[in-house]
Amino acid sequence: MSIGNGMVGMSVGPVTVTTTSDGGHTPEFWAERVVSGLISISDTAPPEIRGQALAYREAMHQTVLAGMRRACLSDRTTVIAALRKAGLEDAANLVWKMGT
Amino acid sequence: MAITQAVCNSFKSELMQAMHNFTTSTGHAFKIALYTSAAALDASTTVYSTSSEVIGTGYTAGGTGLTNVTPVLSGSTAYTDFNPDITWGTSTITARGALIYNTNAAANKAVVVLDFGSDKISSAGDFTVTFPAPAAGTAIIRIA
Repeated sequence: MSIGNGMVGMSVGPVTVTTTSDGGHTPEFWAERVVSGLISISDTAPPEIRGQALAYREAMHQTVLAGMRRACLSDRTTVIAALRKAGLEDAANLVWKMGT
Repeated sequence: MAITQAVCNSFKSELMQAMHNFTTSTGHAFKIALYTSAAALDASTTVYSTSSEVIGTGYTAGGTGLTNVTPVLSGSTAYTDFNPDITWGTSTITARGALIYNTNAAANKAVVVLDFGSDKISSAGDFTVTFPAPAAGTAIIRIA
């Protein structure tokens, strides 16, 4: 029986920074982030399993993306209603033009 | 000045003195603070400092809180994660790196220094830090 040398190492993983200008991240960005948190697929998985997993991941991505888009539109509807109630019709129209 | 990604040396010692607890809900409160390229952050950093910390719209000194994920063991590697990722929305920020630190008992002890590799800039937009996949080979903080 061999015993290792007992060396212990600590590491910091690589973070990713993503920024935007004059607007926020797209629903596509957030859908990708959500799906990445839900499913990961090993590079070394057998091809048939990997293929199925990739197909499932894509289906999940499309479902999440559709939900994200609907949520964005619903939120704009809420914002528009709040702006109109506050008498800010011009601002409400501006948000409306972004799509609802 | 420079920012060098590292596990803080003081953190290694403090870990053996049970001064850091990453458990979900019942663990300590950790935060992430952003710094400009003028900062001097590396393995020798021991505590959070406001020196060369980012000043910008949408960013508050001290940074923002992280949500702990209880450490787990995978093979011979222990790791922890923070979830969800962090976004400073409607922000105008230029940052070159970050410090994760432990706010427990207001000691603000340094944990790890993050080097973004270059200045990252948001302008009236989102500034998002995405943590790596929580796995033995990639997680944000690992002991192997």
